[in-house]
Amino acid sequence: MTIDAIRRCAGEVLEIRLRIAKPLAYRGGQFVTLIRRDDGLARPYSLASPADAEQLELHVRHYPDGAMSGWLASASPGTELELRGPYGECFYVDDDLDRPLLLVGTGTGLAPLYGIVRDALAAGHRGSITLLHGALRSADLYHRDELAALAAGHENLEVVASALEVEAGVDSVDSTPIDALALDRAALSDHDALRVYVCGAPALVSGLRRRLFIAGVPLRAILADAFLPAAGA
Amino acid sequence: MSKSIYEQIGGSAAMDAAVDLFYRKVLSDERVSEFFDDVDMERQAAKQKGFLTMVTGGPNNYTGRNMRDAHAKLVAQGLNDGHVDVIIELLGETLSELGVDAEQIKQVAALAESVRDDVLGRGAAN
Repeated sequence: MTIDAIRRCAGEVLEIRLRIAKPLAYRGGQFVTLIRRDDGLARPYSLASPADAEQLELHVRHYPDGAMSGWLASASPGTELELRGPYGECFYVDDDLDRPLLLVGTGTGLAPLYGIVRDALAAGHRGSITLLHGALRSADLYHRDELAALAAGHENLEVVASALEVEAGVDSVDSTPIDALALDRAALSDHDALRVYVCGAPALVSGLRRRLFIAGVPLRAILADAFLPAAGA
Repeated sequence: MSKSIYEQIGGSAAMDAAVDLFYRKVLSDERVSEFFDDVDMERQAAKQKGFLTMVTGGPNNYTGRNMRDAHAKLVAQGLNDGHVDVIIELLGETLSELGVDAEQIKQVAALAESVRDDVLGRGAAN
């Protein structure tokens, strides 16, 4: 596994592209563990790339003191890494191309959702796909252009950005809290057909899962991935 | 021998739907919801499926010891007979919505009643 490219995005997020030596059977939304060769330092990251991509795409929140993210931020293309996985059950399943999909994520919780959405579109998903991406501040919303371009190319995909603090001059960011947006959108869908993906901050994931369930979404229709911060991420 | 209520409702697959109904009622009911605040929802749903299977006469490996251990922390937090009554009430509502008649709901409630002392950590373990 070799680092191909590292791009700094908004919100202290690093988009990391990895070249894989041999094909990896995975689905967008699953996660892998990256392992530093020197000392075995290991951290899990979600796969933002669709299943058939030639490069793996990861979104890494850069913490200045983060052992792995700080190292990745200064790593150069060509750096070799070990990888384990893929793991996890948070991915697109093409059992019903017409079901509505609701994807909700905060911060780099967008990574798995970005992979899932692209897998769904590649599978020819026909039902509505609503992607809600939230951050504390609108300046921390990353990949807005990529998401807008994806939505422009697919009539059934809607992308909504949400931030509690919206900077002056920033348009098309909803200041409604993302969990409220998610509950509103879920209420518009047939609960028995809907499938929901929730990824990101543990408090959002557990709280929203519970509220969606109480609102009538079957428990098994809510797939969740809580990002637990490692000590020294 | 007549069919168990578990079989009448539709067995294991129907239990999944029953758990969604029942668990949703429990989380929405302010009399008991606080006891479910910090639980893993998937594990809790699996436990509730086991409970619903047991009280409707389905195949189960219920033990009083497990029930005691699982609820000991909640008893320390104040779980009491009133809460157990609410759970049995919500269990009845759930079964009623699934088309189980009143007479059979009484039988289920009696089975649920037999678990009360284990849940509340009273007497000797079954």
